[in-house]
Amino acid sequence: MLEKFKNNPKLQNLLRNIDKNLQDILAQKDKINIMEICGTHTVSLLKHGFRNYFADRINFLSGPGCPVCVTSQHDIDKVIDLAKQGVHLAIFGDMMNVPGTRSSLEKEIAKGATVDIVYNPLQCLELAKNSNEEIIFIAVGFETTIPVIASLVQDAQRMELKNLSILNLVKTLPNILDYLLNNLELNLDGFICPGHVSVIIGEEPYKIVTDDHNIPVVIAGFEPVDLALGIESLLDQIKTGKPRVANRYKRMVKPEGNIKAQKLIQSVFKPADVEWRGFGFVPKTGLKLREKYRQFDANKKFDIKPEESKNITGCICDKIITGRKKPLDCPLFGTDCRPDNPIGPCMVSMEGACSAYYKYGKEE
Amino acid sequence: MQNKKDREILLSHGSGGKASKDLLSMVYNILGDVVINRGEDSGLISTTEKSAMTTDSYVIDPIFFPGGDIGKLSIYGTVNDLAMVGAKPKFITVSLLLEEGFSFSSLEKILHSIKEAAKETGVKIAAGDTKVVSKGKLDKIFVNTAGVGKIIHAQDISSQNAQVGDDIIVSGDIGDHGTAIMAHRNKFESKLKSDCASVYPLVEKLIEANVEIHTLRDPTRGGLASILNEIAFSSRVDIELEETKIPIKNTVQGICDALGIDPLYMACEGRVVIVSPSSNTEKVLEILHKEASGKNAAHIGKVINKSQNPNLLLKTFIGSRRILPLLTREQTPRIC
Repeated sequence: MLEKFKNNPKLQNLLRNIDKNLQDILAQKDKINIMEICGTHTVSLLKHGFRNYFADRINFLSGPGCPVCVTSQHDIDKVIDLAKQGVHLAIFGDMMNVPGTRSSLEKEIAKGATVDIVYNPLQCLELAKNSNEEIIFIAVGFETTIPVIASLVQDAQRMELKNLSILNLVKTLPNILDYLLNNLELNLDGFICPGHVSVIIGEEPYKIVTDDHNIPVVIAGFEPVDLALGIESLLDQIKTGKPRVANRYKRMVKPEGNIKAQKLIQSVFKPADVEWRGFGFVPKTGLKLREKYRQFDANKKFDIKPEESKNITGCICDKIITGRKKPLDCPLFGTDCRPDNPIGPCMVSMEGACSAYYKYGKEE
Repeated sequence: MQNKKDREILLSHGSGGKASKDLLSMVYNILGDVVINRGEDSGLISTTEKSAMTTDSYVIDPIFFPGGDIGKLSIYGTVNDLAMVGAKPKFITVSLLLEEGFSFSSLEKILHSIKEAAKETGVKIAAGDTKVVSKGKLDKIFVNTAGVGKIIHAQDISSQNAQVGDDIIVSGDIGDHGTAIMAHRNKFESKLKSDCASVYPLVEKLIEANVEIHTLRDPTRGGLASILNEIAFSSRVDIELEETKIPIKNTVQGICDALGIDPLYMACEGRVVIVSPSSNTEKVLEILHKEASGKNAAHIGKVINKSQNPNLLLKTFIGSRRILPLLTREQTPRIC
């Protein structure tokens, strides 16, 4: 299975076909701009050498798809404020080193704050059951992670846990693409849409991009063959001028998505306007807990009031996750801002564009 | 009275008194004739020939893992370090640092492994030590070994010797050890085992066949990509690997993909990377392929040019090139 999508002899034919189509398209225009939304795609494109392969032909732009990177500075400061209040936080590992306006979780831990790294939100149930402390799960993530967070809330209610809540910072995908296309002039020629998120939401929601904005969309996987198939489909759509939502990750993504997971999300959450780094507040791009689960909302349970948040001087993460700049455009990249000393969130998260460029994208 | 089954190491076992003596006689009993020092302050060895010496400490967690344990690892690890400069392993020292409360039965198992590994590799234990520290001051057991070996290769084998035109050969599948440990820690069900073994027999075969060897390295902590970066840097050359040629088990790749880590940076404990002139490559592979531990040996890349700014490059599955950098963060702590 793995070999089939990594080291497949047909890959060379596929690339030749792509090269030929590219030549035809580039006879009409200078360069093609493709946005990959998901951080895992950014990593895969660099790791498998696609960026170098298409160097002067396709301009790959990272989009708003790394959960830690899109979390606003104010929300990061809220997390740190909670840590200061002496509650017990449970977080995904990538959140640990994100710098807030005045501090970071790492610094608060050194001063005595309790922060546990969890791999699965459901680990919080055990933490809460075996503790008298207040446990707060910092809920970041997209549709891939949200069903598990919804399960956490439902299970917590079933188990009648009084000392567990979530700081809900989750985001949802398709509407942010609409907002991005309406508000920024990026001249995008196509989107590579995330495989994992699409497993849950299916193909339909991306029609907002193809139908309203006339821009090609492909849902793709993460191995070399998956990516080549995805790029092939986008070029095909560009060439024929007929954008559609193509699914090139059919072994994982069903057209309707995972309906059970969608229903689970809807039963616990309802759509909400939320704040994104780089975008500000965007209508209907996040979720809030339904009334019947309000006792699990850390915002209602605690008085969270961080001092005024400020974006970090010189850091352009906000522009990177909106496709307006690339990591190598940042004056701090690789000098002041490195994985061992991150200044912005895109250098912290393993899926952040800056961290991926630092690891895989260094120029020879 | 503690029964033998659940006996634990106590602070008194490190006091120098009767309990210490009991512990030592157990150690001597198990290790038997691989020990050449019988209770003197120093062991006597004779070395008139050019020799190599090395030391390493082993702090792996868990101490028992699929395919081995800390005892086996502490002998093979040091034996392999000697083999990497073309030395035949002769003598070894073994220091055991024990946490109060550590179980005797685990210690016995580890000592048996040490004995088996020493016998297999032909090293004699020339000196040893045991220390006990109070609970919580270390985690269960740490082992330090030092080794002495006789140089059997006429030319220097060194990380600084890689030359343009040399080929890069690896003796088998990469990343098994580190991945087996990570799978075990994450409670994945898998048959994957550590590759923990001595690579000296392979090295000896190559040297006996008069193969010209420029560099030998065992890709332990940091894996294949890290040691090749070091070789590139030390020799001031660029090295290019071909992704399609690097032998990785499907299980290793699958587990690494699931954990979001890269097998090119995962430790091996029974592999050797050989840098030698490309005219030798066929001969090297023929020799390695005859041995069970070398049957998956592969030619994975080459030294492409001299460089003031040395890089390790990867030709990826799609035929594009990218840099394989040194990692800034350790992927997997305490795996050796």
